[in-house]
Amino acid sequence: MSDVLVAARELEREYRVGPETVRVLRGVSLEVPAGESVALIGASGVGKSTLLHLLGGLDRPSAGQVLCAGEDMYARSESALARLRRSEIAFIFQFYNLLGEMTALENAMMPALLQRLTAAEARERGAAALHEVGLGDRLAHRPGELSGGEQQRVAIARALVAQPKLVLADEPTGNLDPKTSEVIWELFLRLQAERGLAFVIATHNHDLARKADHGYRLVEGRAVAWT
Amino acid sequence: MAAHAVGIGGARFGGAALAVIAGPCAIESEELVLLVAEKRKEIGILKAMGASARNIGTVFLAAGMAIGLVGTAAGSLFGLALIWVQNTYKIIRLAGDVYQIDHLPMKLTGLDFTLVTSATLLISFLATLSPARRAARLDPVEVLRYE
Repeated sequence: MSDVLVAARELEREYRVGPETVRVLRGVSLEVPAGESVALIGASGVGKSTLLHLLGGLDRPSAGQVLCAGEDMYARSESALARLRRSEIAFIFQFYNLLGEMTALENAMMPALLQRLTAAEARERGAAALHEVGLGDRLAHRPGELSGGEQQRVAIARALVAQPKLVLADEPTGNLDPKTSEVIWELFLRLQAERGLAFVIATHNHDLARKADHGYRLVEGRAVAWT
Repeated sequence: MAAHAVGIGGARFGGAALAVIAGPCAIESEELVLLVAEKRKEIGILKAMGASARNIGTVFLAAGMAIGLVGTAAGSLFGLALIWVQNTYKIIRLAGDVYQIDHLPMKLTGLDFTLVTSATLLISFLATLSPARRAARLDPVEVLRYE
């Protein structure tokens, strides 16, 4: 087995909702090997997004640890977590979350600009990533001028530009038709093979989830191995 | 933003000028608060991509200061134009039998100009601090989950 890139250890997350405490995650443990894909399935509201946010350094756990290169990710400061997200981890969302006023190229450039690359370098990287996902002829289009599948491919290009080791995709095909979903999933698998990227993909689609190297089902706040 | 220096026989209306400055700066602060509310989702997306709280705060601080600079420049030009119009066309008249002159003279001094523009920029900067801090502290998880 490959080296473990990120691992969750007895991860817990609870939220205060008015007077009540909602325990979403109740001791999740799982491993994401470098360069491999992990599918995360489970009913809506079971905590898949919460788990992805925690694996990506975007939230803070109530208890437990997320180990990144063997060290507790959440022992780091907020600015160190931001640096980690800038360089090692990328998110892809169900509703694409593109910046609507910007073109596909400008969206794709953004992570490179956050990494303080020059505008020319960022443009070069963004254009290359858009070509890689098959949108080389759509650089100047705004999100509103693209189909759902194309917008998701822009989001994937944006994730690639940061040159991360880990991509966390939250229901990336949840808003797409079956055929486009298949195309997006194949793109993930190709990028995994070609770039050695690790993916954690939350999905409701069991057929697609079976194509991942590993699978976990979230049940009652815990992760259970799934095949 | 404010007519810069209005004087009769060297008298200065510093308090009035500051009041005129503070109003637009309060509006600027409100504008920024609205901008932060409007851009919540974008802030969340940028934070997910690795923008730090400082990055976000700096963007809004810069936006606020840009508004302040443009406002100060526009206000300065407007004030200079008012002074020129009044001194040229003598629109505001005075009772000639009460005063030795029949119109309100306006004079701009370098000190007045420096004081008022500096105060404008300072208040403008202070007005941006709270909205910029609010933007920097925005929780990306909350935004990405619910918007």
